[in-house]
Amino acid sequence: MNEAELRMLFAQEADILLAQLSSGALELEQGTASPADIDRLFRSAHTLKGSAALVGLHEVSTVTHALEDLLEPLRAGELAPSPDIVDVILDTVDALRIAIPRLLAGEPIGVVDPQLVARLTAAAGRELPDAPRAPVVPSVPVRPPLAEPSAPPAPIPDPPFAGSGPPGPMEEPLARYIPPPPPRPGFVPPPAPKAPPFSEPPLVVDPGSTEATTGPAVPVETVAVPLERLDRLVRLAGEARTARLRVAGAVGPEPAADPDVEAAFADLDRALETLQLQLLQARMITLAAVAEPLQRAVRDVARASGKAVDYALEGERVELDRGVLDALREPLLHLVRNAVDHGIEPAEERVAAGKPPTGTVRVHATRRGQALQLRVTDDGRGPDPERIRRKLGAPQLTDAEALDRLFAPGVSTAETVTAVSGRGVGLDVVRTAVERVRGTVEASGVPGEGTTFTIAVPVSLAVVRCLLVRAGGEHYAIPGHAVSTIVEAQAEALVGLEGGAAVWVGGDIVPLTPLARLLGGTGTRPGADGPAVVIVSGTRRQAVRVDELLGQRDVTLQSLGDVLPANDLIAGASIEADGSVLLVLDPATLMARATDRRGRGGDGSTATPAVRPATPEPATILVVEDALTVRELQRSILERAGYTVVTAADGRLGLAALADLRPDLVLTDIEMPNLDGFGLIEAIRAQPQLASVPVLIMSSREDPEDRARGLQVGADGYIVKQAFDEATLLAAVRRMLGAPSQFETPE
Amino acid sequence: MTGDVSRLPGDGAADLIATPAAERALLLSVRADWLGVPLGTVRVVLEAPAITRVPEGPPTLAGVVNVRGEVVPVLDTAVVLGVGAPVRAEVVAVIESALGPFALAASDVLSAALTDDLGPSDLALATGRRRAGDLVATILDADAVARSVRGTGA
Repeated sequence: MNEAELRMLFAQEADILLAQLSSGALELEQGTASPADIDRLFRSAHTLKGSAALVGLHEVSTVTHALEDLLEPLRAGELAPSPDIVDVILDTVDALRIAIPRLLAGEPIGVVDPQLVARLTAAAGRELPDAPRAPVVPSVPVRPPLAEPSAPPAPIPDPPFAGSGPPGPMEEPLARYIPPPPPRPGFVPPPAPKAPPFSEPPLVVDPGSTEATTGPAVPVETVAVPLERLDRLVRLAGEARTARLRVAGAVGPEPAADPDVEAAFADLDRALETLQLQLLQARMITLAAVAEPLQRAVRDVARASGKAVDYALEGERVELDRGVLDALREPLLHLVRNAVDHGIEPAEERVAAGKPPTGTVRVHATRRGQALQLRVTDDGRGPDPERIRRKLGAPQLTDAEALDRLFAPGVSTAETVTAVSGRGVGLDVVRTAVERVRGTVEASGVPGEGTTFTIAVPVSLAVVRCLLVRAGGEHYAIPGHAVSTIVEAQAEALVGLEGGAAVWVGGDIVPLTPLARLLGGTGTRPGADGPAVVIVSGTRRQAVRVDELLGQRDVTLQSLGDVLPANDLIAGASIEADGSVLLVLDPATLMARATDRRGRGGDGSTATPAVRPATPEPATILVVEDALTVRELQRSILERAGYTVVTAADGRLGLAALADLRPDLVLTDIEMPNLDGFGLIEAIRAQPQLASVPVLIMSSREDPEDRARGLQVGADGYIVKQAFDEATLLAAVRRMLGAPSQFETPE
Repeated sequence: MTGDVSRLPGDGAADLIATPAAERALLLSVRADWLGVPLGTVRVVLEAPAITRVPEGPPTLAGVVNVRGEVVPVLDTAVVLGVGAPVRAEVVAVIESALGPFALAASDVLSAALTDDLGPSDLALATGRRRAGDLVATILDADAVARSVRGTGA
């Protein structure tokens, strides 16, 4: 194992150990920690200390050594748990979660608050040292214990099979800039279930289980497997089944005369099908993986806002694809924070309204077949459609339409902007993230009684139940979760609607568009009969007419790879049994295209141009940021999204780059050496040829005065770095590129 | 043709035969040009593959093909390089790049040893010109081709 692989392994291990430390601290706070739990807490710190030293992160070793010194007397019964002890453990976890990725990325030492060691020492009741501790380096190297008790196996080389290169590196976790608010009393802990030691494995390979609805109830030995390798195995299993079909075809349509051959074919079929299902199952993980982050989020926001909140996660054992869970993590965190911050009222207000002083927040997960439903519910103020209508100046909206507008960019009905929410940049990001995994999210509720956000996502990104159709001479698949119904669109029954056609569906009028037209073809001639598939996204429905329905089945999905730029129309592709490629369409994009076509003057009566519109050049973004990790992270995110990125390490270098470059957007920090962000923006606005270039500030400074100064010097947008994540940045960049002269103001 | 240039054997999907020459390339016939890619970057060559068109794909994309269970984009080589109108994909060569695999469409392919360095190429996505037997081959930079399709610059 080389150093890079070791560091990635440590990053995964640190994630698990820090989650265990956080869960253990919460158990201490709740008073439910047994001696075994405290012992486990100590061992987590001890293991983290040793592993950090192994990879040379001595700053982390120093901090975790001080943490060990605090946990040792707790374990020995010589020190009683207290709120200060819990707080300093959780603060240590939060600090290390931020510090470890930055240290692994090569940032110089000093990223961990030096006062943290002093706080840990003081909490342990020991005297403060006169001199800073030397980094702790164990005399015997400690193995990262992901696979106890034996050493991790050597990586298994891929088989000598054309098409399989060497195994790629494991995914590198993105740094998240979300520091906790300062702790204050007010959190009412729920009765917490005991977490088994391996409650949060990175990936669990459990060859004995075919159960799809529950995860393991006891600790199991785990092996970390890169998702990419699992995906490759799934593809190979699919190819094996295709090859089996070709062999069967070569043998001929009649059953083999030799019963042994027939039996061998049957065995091969069963084995390949089981192999494929097991590999897909290996990607599954339970919702327990987000239990601790959600609980922490509720606790921290409740304490920061001085509210009492009763929280619980129901359906922790529901399984879903690792990729889906990763995509839902941030949306769920945002929704629970929102529920506490804006949903739950202060105790006095609740009592005056006849409610108990303690608010309730629940996350409830249920699985129905291949669909997973997650509901985030609170018993707080509830949504106010009238307030939304007033805010938007749109009195004609129905209640459902008004609530759906909560997910539009920049919309917030919050009275105040807090450190958590209220800027109107959260729910649109939630919807974008959920739709990226082919899910939907809706808001509902009763004013005064509470709000419910309902997320529906497929259980697996890898296998999707699809409706197969033929349109424009090609075969396509439409994900089943987005299909509402199928109707016969008889020409004589169609009605005209806003320049296009529409069909009656169960008493509602639904716009109708030929699918082939949406895909750039000429499609079915106007007035032709044919089946129409009604797709649904949120509260909207759209009917797409197809030439033929071809049935429905499970489709094993894969991406089109990283060479092609993003194509919103295509959710993925699948290899058919005959070896051909089947494209899976993205329903949300189909919906948006159909709406867009109507907005541009109709559909169904105008022939689509035979030539596809030219693909626009990717936008160029100048990133000006002095912090290496942040700068490279921004570059990585923006390039993956298809943008061309040029970077500069400070304002002066950024200005120099602008001498030769006219970017489509400038993304800049404020605090930089040589020339800060304000100076850079002033210099940009002073040049006539750059005056109209949109500028987006991304800074850790969140004072209203800084935002106001940004406006004054000419910035068009402002993101607070502490609230930054990939989805937020990309949403803001897209808005900037679409509306270059609008400055985002908090609601 | 003279020199160490050989036509690929077999019908259907054909794996390349490793030859002991110091520097070999796969040459793709695209219109009147021969374009070369280092043999070490070539995964497999497919003859007359079934290419599935991708709606709203970039102009450089001919479609996608199945390569042993993996969906791989097929690029129209002439369009990518700006050397003319799209070519019919009689063969596709699957190339490994830093961004992942892609396939280049061509009328024909040869395996050849590269000899004399004939200087730089005028094409932005090429590293230079080399002699290959009687042929002059423009050597492509696979990573640059992938980046240009992706839109992140050569």
